Amino acid sequence: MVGHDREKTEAKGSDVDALMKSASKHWVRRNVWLPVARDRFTRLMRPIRYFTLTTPDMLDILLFEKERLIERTTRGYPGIGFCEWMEIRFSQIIRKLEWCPWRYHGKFEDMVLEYDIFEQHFDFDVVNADFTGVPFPAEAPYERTFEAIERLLQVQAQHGRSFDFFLTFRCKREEMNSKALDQLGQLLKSNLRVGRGSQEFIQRVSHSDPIRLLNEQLWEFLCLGVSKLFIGIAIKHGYSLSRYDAYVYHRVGGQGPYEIIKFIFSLEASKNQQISLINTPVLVHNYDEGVLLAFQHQPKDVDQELKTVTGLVRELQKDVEELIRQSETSRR
Amino acid sequence: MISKPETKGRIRAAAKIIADISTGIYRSPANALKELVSNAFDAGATEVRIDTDHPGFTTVTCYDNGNGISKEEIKDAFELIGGSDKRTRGERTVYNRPIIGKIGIGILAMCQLTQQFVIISSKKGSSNRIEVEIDIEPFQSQDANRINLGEGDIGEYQIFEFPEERERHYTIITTPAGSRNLKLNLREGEDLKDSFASHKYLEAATFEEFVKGVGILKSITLGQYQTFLWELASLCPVEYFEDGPVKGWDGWDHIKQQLRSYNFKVYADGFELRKPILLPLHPGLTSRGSDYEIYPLEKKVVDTKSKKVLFHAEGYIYHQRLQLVPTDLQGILVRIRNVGIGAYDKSLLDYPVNIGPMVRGMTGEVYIHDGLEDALNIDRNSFNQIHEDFLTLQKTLYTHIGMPDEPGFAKDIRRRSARVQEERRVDDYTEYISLLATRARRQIDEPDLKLKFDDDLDVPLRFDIAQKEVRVNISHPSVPEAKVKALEFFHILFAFELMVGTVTDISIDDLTAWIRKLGGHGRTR
Repeated sequence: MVGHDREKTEAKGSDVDALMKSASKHWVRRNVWLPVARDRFTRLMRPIRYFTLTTPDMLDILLFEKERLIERTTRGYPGIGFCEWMEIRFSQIIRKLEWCPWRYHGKFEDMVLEYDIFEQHFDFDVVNADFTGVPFPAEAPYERTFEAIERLLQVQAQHGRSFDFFLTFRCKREEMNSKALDQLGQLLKSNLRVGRGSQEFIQRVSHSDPIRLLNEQLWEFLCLGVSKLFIGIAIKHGYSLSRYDAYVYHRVGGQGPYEIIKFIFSLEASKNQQISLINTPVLVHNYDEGVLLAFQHQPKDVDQELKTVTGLVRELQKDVEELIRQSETSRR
Repeated sequence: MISKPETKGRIRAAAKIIADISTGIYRSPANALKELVSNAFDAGATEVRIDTDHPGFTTVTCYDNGNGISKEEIKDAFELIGGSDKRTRGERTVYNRPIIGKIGIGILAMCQLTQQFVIISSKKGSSNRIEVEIDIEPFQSQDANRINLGEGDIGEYQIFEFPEERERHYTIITTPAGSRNLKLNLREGEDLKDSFASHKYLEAATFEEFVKGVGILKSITLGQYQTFLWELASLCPVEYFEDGPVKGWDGWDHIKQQLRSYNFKVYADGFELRKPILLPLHPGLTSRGSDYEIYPLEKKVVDTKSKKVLFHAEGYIYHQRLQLVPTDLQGILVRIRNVGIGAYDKSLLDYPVNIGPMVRGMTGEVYIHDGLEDALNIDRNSFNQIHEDFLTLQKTLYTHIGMPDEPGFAKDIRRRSARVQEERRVDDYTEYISLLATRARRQIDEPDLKLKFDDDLDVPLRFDIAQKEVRVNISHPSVPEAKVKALEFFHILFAFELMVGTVTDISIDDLTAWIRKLGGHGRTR
């Protein structure tokens, strides 16, 4: 039987739901995702096509709908795509959306790597890969998520699509594959030796040793390593980076503390998608610039932000409640 | 780590069910999913949402907001599918809906589409929901001997329980994520480059647009997905469109009102389904009586002693002069408890008289209010054709259409068709002669042409420029529609006179005499 450990996923689902409604999450939704999506909407001069790993509360979709960045018709949401593998959550989302042209019942990686119509149909202006797990899970194959990210970028590039990619990961050492982390550390180390960014690295973390950073401050290490990895993949497929942002907030779960890291990559498609002798210098330049941008950018600590503004947490919570209430009213 | 399930068990089925599973009893995905819709109807749902994962079709999900199923009800249903009927005849649910079917049969329908699926349900007032994993794969290869042995296991299930809010009630039936053996087979005819359909006029924003678009197609075959939507809509106990089934006909309002009172909506991939009957669809059919006609029927059999209604059928047959599109609409659909049984039957329940092409313009529905249920086969898609109630229905229908010794509405259709054909023939003739006259005028530019009828002419028409006359042999075999009758002869003359301006061989008095002789069937143009 194709199934899953139902008790485990039920518990995880509850955790995710609580997280999604949290003030810090909504701060990112409102102050990071929304402006980026709005910029994309302004550039395109039409409703955006938005892919998301949303939850049954659909707060990101509701927020975008409220701001009129996405289209809603009598049939449903013609510009939305989503992916969810838990049966009950998939059904709950579908019921709320009523209809959207892209809905995949399964895991993100399966959708990208195995769905036979993915290449033809997947084409979005904003992709929100809001993963709830870690980037390199302990269980093999640990690289599958990044394989899927690369494939997704490849397909978007084939469509000539400039787009915004929101990437979220959890940072918890015990859940991660140590071999993968070591490899990433070595990659950073070798790059700092030959590429640009070494000064920026030192300025940021006060030393020049990525392995030390891996051991002492994993989330910071992942910020740099995942950014570098992602930018390399994007450049390989002909993209240049026009915007970069990173955010972090700290959580305490049932099994100990962890961090949530969020990235914003705005990618511009170029005509020269193939790596060749002619455009290699451009690609190298784009890569260096992208990595520099990422290394220079200190991730914003969302928790600090919430502490500095009085009443902000309550305001965000009220905003979430209002979104949910409006959504229920409109669907009655 | 696999969680320990709360309850495990085997799904048992009667011998007939086992045989049916191995042969694949449901004709189509729509027929199979119709059973889930029926279950939802019985459970008091007001909303059913079906998602087929178009255009990928890798998963199917059916959600309803009905009362839900409890763990005990699942176990009962799986104890013996196809066993004794626990439902009481005449029993009704919320909104006064007549109960349609049995949970077990509905779930069985899902087995036709996939070997593994999940039922998730929260019963009203319960603080738990159940998640039931069902797997029939290990039991698929059936030995013919097993069928003869009687009951047997067709699958296994595991039930898990989780907390749920008390006020929530629903049932979800879906294939598990990652499942690879879903048999929806709806991709044929789909141009996967398009978001919805392969033809421009099938890119509908609403289901009504879709139905209207289908109705004006002539020769294009619907893809399997479009056929699925259409079929599902025609089978489910959903409402008609505002103007359905026949525009301007109020004879069906009581049925429409009844369906409305059930407060039941079915959505498939975002479309709210309505019965896809919106006649006439062709824009060239506007006049009831000549372009189309409706023939209502009703039959009631009451036991003379107990006064109990044994059989009550109510329906209509609609006929139009053009072929009905889609062809799936041609024939008769029987509905029991508002649910379509099988598909539109082009044989008209094996009507024994050959009515030729008439059936291509014919469609009808028969609602069975009482009776016939015992004649239903276990798949709820066909009838036991020797059952007394089925024979009553056949006889009712045959009499209504017409038998050699009992004229029915078929005679009226023939009469209408003959009249229409005649009118068309006259129109054709008039058009033909008009054309000739126009050519003649152009050729010789002579408004004062004489018309002469010459039965010896070796061609239908000859222009004699020197004589300034047109000679016509209306009996010529190459003239359309063979020999011309007096009526058409008169029309030709009249048309010729209007076109050309002069008829000198026959006087107005002669023409008047002709009109009187023909009984005043003259036509002016």
